[in-house]
Amino acid sequence: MLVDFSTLDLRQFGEFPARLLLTALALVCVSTISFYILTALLGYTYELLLFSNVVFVTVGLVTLFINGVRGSLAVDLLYFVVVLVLVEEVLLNSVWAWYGLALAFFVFALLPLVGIVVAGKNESVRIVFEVCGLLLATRIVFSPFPMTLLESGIFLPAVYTLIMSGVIAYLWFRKVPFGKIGLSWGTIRLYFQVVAGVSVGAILGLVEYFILRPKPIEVGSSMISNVLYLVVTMMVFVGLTEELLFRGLLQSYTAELMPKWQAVHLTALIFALFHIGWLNPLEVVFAYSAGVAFGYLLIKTSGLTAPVVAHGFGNIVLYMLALVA
Amino acid sequence: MSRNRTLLFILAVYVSLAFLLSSLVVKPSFYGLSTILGTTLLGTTTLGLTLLGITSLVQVYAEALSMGQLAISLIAICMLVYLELSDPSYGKTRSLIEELRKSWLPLTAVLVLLFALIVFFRILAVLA
Repeated sequence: MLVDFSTLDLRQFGEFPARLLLTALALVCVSTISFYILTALLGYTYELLLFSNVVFVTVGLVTLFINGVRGSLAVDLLYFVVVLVLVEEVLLNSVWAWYGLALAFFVFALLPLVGIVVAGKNESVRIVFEVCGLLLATRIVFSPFPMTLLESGIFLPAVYTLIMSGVIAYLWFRKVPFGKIGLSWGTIRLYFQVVAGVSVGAILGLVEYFILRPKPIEVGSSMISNVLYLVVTMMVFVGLTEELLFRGLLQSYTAELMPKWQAVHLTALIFALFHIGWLNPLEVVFAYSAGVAFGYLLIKTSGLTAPVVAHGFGNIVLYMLALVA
Repeated sequence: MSRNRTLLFILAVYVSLAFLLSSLVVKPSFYGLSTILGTTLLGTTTLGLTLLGITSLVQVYAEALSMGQLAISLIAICMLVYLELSDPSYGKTRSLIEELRKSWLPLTAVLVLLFALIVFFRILAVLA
């Protein structure tokens, strides 16, 4: 499945989307097939979760090694960060959760130092590593809350507000240009960006529902209030925060170190690994595909509107299906 | 105030209003479905529950979180000490130390905020 894409004539398609599409297809196909083979061999066990994700990351990195730009220490270290995130997430979502959390703390503090050492005068390299550290901070922010609060409905807004505060403080401190991270109106009409986001989000939400098959959500008599909560939480907190971190900051600055298709692929890989918590390897593959779609939308529209709408609306569709069910 | 700062302020107000609104409305009985955050603690899909029962998960995470609180406190103290010792007002330091100071400053701010939350919830628990 691992084709050397450099031998293909990609000019007829446009090199960026063609390379991205071929890489994504190869990774999705291999990971999905290996998941079913491993399921047949291991059954639904923790080993299945572990091996499936190891295969996913290995194939994702091999495609980058074969076709992507190498030779820069910063880029090679970014590949290593992917492996670190895999280890951290696998540990965090197991009975060894504390070791995962400890690794998150360690990497959170270490990556800015790594950024300084390898960056030289390259500000983008430094920001990429600092943002990777910030991503790990999303695991640390759980720690202050008592378990009772984590199980309540206010948990999501509370944690996301905390993360968004950190991101805003970071943007303020680093003086990151807003246009560069997609906080702009984009290069095409806003109306088209919203339509594109809603269309992509609807498809993704539907597919994700059939992958996850969440338990039906009990609504009671407050349907309108529940839907309002859903829209605000998914659009403002989940959509905006995650897209600002992954696509806005990580992908935009990674794209300065490597070709765009490679930046989208790498960001989507890291984004997918943050979904290991679902304990469903197919969800990780799905999140990768969604990450590629969001990344592509950002590059094509030069704004975060379409990715945020797609992400938020995808989650709304997923929840609405669970509500209706 | 520059344009960037104005936009950041608007963003902060926007998120605050969303938080206020979401805390006022009645919430459905789900937590963290399809988010990178909520899944870690409370993913409740059928497959997830088959693999690791929610009871054992909650117990494991309760222990991890209490260790996490200790780690936040210690790392925040260490970073504050580092920031104080590397303060340029004490005299010239190596560029690496200065650069690391700049990078760790926002991270320390996050950790101090988390530490304040730990203290807040501890006080609440005592009062309750």
